[in-house]
Amino acid sequence: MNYKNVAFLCLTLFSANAYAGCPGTSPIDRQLSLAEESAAPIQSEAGLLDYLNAMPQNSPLRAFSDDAMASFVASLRFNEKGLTSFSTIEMERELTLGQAYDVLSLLGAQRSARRLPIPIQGERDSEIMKMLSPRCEDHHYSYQCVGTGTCKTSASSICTPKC
Amino acid sequence: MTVLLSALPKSDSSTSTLYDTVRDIESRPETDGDRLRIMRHAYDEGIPPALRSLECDSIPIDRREDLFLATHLVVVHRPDALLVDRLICLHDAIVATNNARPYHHHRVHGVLVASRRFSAANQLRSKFGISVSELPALELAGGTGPRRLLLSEDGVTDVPWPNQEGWQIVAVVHPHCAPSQRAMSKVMDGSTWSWMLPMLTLLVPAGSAWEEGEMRKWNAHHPTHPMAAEVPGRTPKGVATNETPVFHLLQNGRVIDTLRGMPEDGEALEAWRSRVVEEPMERRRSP
Repeated sequence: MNYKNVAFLCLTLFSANAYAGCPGTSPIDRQLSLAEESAAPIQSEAGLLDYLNAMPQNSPLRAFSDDAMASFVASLRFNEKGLTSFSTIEMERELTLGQAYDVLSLLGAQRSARRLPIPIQGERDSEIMKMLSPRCEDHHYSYQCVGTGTCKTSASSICTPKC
Repeated sequence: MTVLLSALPKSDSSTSTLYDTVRDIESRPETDGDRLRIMRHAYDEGIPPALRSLECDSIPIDRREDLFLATHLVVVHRPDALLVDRLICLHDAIVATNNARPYHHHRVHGVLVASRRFSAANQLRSKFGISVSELPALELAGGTGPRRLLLSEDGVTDVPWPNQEGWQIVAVVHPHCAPSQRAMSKVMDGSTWSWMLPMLTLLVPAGSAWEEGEMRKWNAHHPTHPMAAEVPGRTPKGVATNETPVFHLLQNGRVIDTLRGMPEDGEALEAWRSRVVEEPMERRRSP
C-alpha cells in the first residue's frame, strides 16, 4: 500500500471516526493504524538496515543533523510485531512538525506526531494537526517498551502499541 | 544496533555530554534501584557547583542545554524537589538568553505536572503559551499515609487510599498505553479475569501529562472501577508506578506479589486467583 492509498483510507475513515466513541482505541483507529504500519518502509530491524544502506537522497531522515540521525536511529527498538519504542528528543530539537511526521511515516508511527512539542509553522503543519487530532491515542509519551507488553518511564521516548 | 550505526554518516563530535552519559545509563539492564543509583552518581559527578547553588546565570551558555537535558532525564526518574528546582533554574537561564524552544517549556511543564505542582505549571503555560490544557485547581493534603487523586464533578480531590484490609489488586495503568488498554480490556470484559474486579483499584501514574479527559471518559464508561491518579510518594508501600501495566497484589496493605504486563497465558494471574478466591472459600468450608 502506498502513501496515496493510505491518504485515501485516512479521508474515508476520518469521516466515519467523527461518530465513533473512543474508549481506548476505536476499531476505526485500529484499522487506520494498521494501514499506516503496513505501508511503512521500515517495519523491522532488518528493514531499517536495508533502508539505511540504500537511503534515498530525499529521505526524511536527512533532515536530521548527523549526530541526531545516529541518535534517533540508535533509539529504534523492534520486536517480532514491529516498532516498539523510539526517541523523540532529536525530532523536538531539530525538525519541524511536517519533517517529524515524515520521519515517523517511515516507521508507520505518524499518528504520534501530534504529541511532540513542536510548534505549528505553516499550512502543512496545520493540515497535519487537523488530520491527526481526531485520532485516539495509543502511543505512550515519556515511556519506552521494556520486555513484552510493558511500558516504562523514559525521559524522551514513546512506547508504541506493538510493545 | 552497531551494524545499523555503521550505515550512517560519521559524526564529527568525539566528546560525549552529560546527557549522553545519563541517557546511556537509562537504557542499561540493571535493576531499577541500581540503575537509578548509577545514574544519580554520574549526574552528581558531572554537574558544576553553580548548578548546585542554583546560580544558573553563571553557567556558561554552551553548557546549559546539556545540563538541562541531563537534569530533566534524571528528574523524570527521581522527581525530588531539589532536581525540580535545578531544572527550573536552568530553564530560566536558557530563557534569559533567548535560546528556549517549546521542548524546553514542555519538559519543565511536564515535570511540574508529574510533581503535582499544577499552579506553577499553569503559570508556566500562560507565560510561554504552551499548547496544553489548563490544569485544574489542586490542593494536596499533608500528613502521611497512602492517598490518591479522584476526579469528581467539582474537580480533583486528594483523598485517602481506600480501606486496605484483606486482598487488594492495584493495577497501574495509563489511558494512552496500548498494553494497558489491552490489559484493562481483558480484565473488564467480564469473563476470565472478572474475579479480580471486587478488589481492583486502577491507578494512573504521575507522568508529564495530566490526562483528565481520558480518565473521565474511562470513568464514565466504568463507574464501578474509576481511574484514580497518583499522588507522588503517597502510594501504598511497595506499589511501584514506573511501568504500565503492572499489577500489584496486596494483602492488608502490603505488596506480596507483582506482575509486569499482562501475561498472555494467564498462568501467573491464575495463581493469584486461586490464592485470593479459592483458598478463602475452602477455609470457610472446612470446620
